[in-house]
Amino acid sequence: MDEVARAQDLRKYYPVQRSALERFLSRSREFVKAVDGVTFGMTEGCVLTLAGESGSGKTTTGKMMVGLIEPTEGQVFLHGTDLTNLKKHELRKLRRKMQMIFQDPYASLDPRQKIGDAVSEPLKIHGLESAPDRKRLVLEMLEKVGLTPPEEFYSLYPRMMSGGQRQRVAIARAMILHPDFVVADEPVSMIDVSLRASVLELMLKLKKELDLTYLFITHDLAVAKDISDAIAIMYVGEIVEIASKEELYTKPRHPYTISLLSAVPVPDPDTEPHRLIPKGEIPSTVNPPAGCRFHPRCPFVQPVCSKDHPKLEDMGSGHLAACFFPREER
Amino acid sequence: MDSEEIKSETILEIEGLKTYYPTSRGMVKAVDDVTLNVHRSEFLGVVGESGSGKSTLGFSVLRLIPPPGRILDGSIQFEGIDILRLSNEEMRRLRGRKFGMIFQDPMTSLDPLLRIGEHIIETLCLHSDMSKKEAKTRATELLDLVGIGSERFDDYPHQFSGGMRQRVMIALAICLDPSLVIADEPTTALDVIVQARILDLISSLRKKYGLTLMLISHDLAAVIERCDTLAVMYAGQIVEYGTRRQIGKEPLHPYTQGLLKSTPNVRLVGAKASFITGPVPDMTQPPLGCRFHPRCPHAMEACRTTEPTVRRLDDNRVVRCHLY
Amino acid sequence: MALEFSKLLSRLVPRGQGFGVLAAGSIVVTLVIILALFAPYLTPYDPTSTAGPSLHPPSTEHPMGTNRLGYDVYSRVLYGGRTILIVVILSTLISMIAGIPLGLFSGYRGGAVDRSISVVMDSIYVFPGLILAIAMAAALGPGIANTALSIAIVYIPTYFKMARGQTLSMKEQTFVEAVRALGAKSSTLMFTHILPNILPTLTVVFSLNVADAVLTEAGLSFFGLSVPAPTPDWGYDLRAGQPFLPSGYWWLITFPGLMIIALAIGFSLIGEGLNELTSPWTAKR
Repeated sequence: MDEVARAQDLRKYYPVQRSALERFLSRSREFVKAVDGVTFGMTEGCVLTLAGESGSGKTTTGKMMVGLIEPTEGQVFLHGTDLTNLKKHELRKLRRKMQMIFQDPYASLDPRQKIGDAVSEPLKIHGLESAPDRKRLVLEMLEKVGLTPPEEFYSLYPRMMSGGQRQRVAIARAMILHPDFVVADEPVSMIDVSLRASVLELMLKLKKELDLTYLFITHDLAVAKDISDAIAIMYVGEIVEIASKEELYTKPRHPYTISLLSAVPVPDPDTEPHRLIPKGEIPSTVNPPAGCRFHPRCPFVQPVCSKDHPKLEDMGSGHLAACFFPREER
Repeated sequence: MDSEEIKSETILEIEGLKTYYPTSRGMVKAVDDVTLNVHRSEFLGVVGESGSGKSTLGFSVLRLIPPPGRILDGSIQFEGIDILRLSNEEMRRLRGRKFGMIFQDPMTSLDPLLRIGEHIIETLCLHSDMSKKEAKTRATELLDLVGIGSERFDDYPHQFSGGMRQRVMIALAICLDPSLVIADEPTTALDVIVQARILDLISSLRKKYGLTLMLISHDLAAVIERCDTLAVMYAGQIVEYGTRRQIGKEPLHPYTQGLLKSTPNVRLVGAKASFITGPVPDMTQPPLGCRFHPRCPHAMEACRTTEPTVRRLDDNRVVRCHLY
Repeated sequence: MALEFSKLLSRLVPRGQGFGVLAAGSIVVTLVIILALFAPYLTPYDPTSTAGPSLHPPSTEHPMGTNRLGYDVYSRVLYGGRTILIVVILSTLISMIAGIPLGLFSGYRGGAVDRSISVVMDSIYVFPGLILAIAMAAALGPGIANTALSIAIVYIPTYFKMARGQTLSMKEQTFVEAVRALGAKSSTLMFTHILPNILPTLTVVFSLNVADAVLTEAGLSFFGLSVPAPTPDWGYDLRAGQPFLPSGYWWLITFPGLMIIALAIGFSLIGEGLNELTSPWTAKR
């Protein structure tokens, strides 16, 4: 099967701001290593989730995958084309094929734009269709995302709509160009729990209809479970484990994945928590720990973990984990 | 202590509470006829989604409703005192001594210019007759209790991570041995692992000191895991109240059932969360009759016209639904 | 100067009186505009020819008296309104058309381009307004267009700074990022998305700015650098009438003076009122 999108050894470093005096006193620069060597590929129809806590680099990776942020090093491929090599106008043309859905439905729509105009904007930008055809396509799309009757919603402003509805507008806007690849950054985290599944279901329905490939970003492993085919757990800029959904949730190998899963609350009074909470805090991305980045907090740490940096190894059936002593429990 | 037992001494009695906010779109009936009792040493979880009124409930008890919102009706009795009759000054003193408060954003609750040790000392001295020396000792003890080493006594709030700041807030909340601690979404802005640690800390402190705790949250799973009792709120009212087993295993109210089904379970790989259909209620004009009826799979004729009364069932559960 | 006016006013204006203030200002300004517009119907005299005895105090034929040349002061006040309004509106338009797009562009591009343009703008900005206007007017010469241009130059940095500042904060907003992700060109982002969102602030700045421009024009014409005599012009009449004050001929400067103040205050009140109305509005949400 064709690979739709690929991240190849992606890195994003941000220079740490220093005062003029500091710059005068020392030459060496410090960097926030937001993303530090991320590689993965996605075949058509796949839903890959990047999961992690703050500082993991998941959002930055997502934005690099749609060309919103330029990587410091590494490449991003869309249908084999290297985005990092493209000129500005070539990249703009390619944007038709890749889109992004943002986290905050209250912030991702222009408050002064009617939603009919917002959803037709992508068509206008790329010079597609005449005005009456645009309107027809927009109405069709609004219907598809469940905003019925579409004529009514066409002339509303975002402030007249609920968060869930606005997110559907954002989805409609992203989908109207029929992209191949969509990055969704925490699309439901700001929506009420009782409405999340309906938005996720919509996204899966559209995936089938429009032959989409999704890169899903979230900090919530419970949400990730319901939408993903495969999950990559990120920690301090790196992928520490990547596996199919079944494998990851039933046989997690990396100690960080295990602690992350154990920390998620379970709505069942009969389930025993079995928490494995690592000590300490998430380290800074400016000076991550030497060796394995998780080693200062790992309950199973060994001497070698502070010296050597583990690479992603195959644990069998495509399940990769970056750990010298992957766990076998559960 | 058996978490299923509900201790009999009631320290907080809320009766028929109504708190409304006037807005440009109309009068938001944030809390609309809420009756709730909290017993000593109980760990109560108040669960609801946006617009349910859960935070407004917490703020009403603390009388921290910003004008032009106000408490229109009802009564709140706390340890025998009628809270709604107190003057602002009396309430302020009560808040410091008898209530502990933990809010969502610790950054705005902490003075950025005060070292955190000083914060605690100041609070202690303000509300009790401790000497500065005694306060300092107690402050160090408290910080230790919440897992902050004494070496960080003189640090400023901005030098702490979100989780650590929340620990400071917990220390501040319990430093005067309050009778009731109200925590409003204390972990929402924190990472998953930190959330678990903070909630663990709150639970263990509660067990150790027999604190009475009211945890307000939108996270049903977290509340089921840790609280003794739950009150589920929808559209400004409590629709169900029971123990964690009762709510978690056999929810009665269709909203609770829907909410539970919408909450995903990480341990069940095959299962998928569902959702509740229908429009989110407009709090300026909530639906007539039962507020949940437009979205309820069991809605009957009566649900559209009459508001269901609150019924107390045999096993001490409370439901607000025509089905019962 | 109008900024000082409005700061004083904002201390006097209690919260929530936005509407009243806006209404008061609008009434004053509208009145002046009507007076200027309908001048020919409101007075029989030609403001640039002798209409009566020289230096005659206010009377029934000449409600505001006559000046040294026998011109009717009332007519000069009415027609003078036209002069000042035309100059001020023209200069404001020029300032806005030059300053706002420049500010948008500079704020959006950032980097060296932004820094260089900002340096230029800042240098103009710190220069005392009236002096700069005088210098420009002296260089360009008299006339409505030249005067408007001289005043415009003074205020271009004001609009530039406002547009740039707002653009800087707007461009970080998620919805701007979202539209950029759709593949929009920079110009689309700037004019279709950022500009409409900065319009509210723009209207406030505009009103306060016009008040300032009124005073600057009056200043210029006071020094005879605005329109050439005998075109009716309040500032010019002030200057012309000033030497006669010690001799008791008070009507020569009082009426033009009052009009200048009224127009400036009127615009200031509009600006203050709008400010009141747009900020608590956003706060209430």
